Amino acid sequence: MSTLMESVTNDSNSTANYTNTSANNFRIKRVGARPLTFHGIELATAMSFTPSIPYWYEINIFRTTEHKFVLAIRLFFQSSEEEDSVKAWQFESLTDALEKIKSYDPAQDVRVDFDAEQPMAIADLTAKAMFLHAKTSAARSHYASLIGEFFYSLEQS
Amino acid sequence: MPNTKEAESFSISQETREEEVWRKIILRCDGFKPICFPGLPLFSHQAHYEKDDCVHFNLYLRDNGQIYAHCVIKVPSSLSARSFTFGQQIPNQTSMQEFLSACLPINCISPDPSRDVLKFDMQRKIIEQLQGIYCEKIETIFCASTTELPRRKKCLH
Repeated sequence: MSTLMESVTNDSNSTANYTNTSANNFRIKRVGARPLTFHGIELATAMSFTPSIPYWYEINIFRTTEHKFVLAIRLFFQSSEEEDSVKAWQFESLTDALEKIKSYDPAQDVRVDFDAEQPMAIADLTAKAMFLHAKTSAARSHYASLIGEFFYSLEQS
Repeated sequence: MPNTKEAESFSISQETREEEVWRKIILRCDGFKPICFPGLPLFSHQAHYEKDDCVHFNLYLRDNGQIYAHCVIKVPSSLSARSFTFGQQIPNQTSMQEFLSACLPINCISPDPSRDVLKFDMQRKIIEQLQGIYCEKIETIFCASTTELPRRKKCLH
C-alpha cells in the first residue's frame, strides 16, 4: 500500500475520496455514481505533483480478490478553494484498465469559470476562448507526461 | 580525408563496436506506452538553458536496422509545466525533420494565461529562449543524422 493511502486512512478529517476500511478493503467515492467498494490490493500508483503547477493527477490501479481491476484517476488542487475529484472504473482485464488510462481525456476536467450564455463583447469572448484552449492544452500535456512516466515505470518493473 | 570532428566520431564507433552488445532499450513517450526494443544508443546530444540541461536528444539503432529518435525537453520550473518526452521510429530524413519539428518547445509549452501580465511575459520570454537553444541544436542533430549515423550503422553491423 502506498504512503498516500496510509496517510489517508490515518487522517480522520481528510476529505479524500478513498477509505481503506481494513487492510485490503477499499471504498472510492465517485461523483454521480455509487461508491466503488472492493476487496483487493493496489498494483500501481503514479502522481504528477509539481510544486509550480496548481493541480496534479494521481492514478491508481487495484486488483480485486475477484480478479478484476479497478482504475482510479484523481485530480487534486493545491488551492483549498477548488474541490478535488475522482473517477473510478472496474474492468475485467488489466489491458482494459491500461487502455482506459490511455484514452482518458483530461480536457473534461478543465473548469470553465464563465457563463457562455451571458452576452459578451467579441474581444472578451476571444480572450476567454484562448484562455480555455490554453488550459485544455496544458491539462492534456500534463496528463500525457504522467501516463508516459507511468507506463515507463510499469515496463521497467 | 575526414576532418577532425568526423575522424573523432569514427574512432568512437570503432571502440564501441567491440564493447557494446544489444540491450533492451525503453523509450518513455508522453501519452503512450514506451517503445521497447533490443538496440544500441547511436548518438546523444544535450543542450543547456542557464545551468540546467534542457534538451536531451538521442538516436538508437534497433537490431533490425531501424533508427529511433528520442527527445526530452526539460522545462524550467518557472514555466508551470512538466517535462516533455517524445519517441518515434525514423524511417527517413523527412521523418527526422517532422520529429524535430514536433519537439519544438514553442509547440509544446504555452505561457500560463492565469498568471499576471509580468509573469506571463517572463514565461513567454523563457519559451522563446528555449526555442532559440533548440533551433541552434537542430542543425547539429540533423548533420549527425545524415553523416555520422550511416557510418555508425555500418560499423555496428
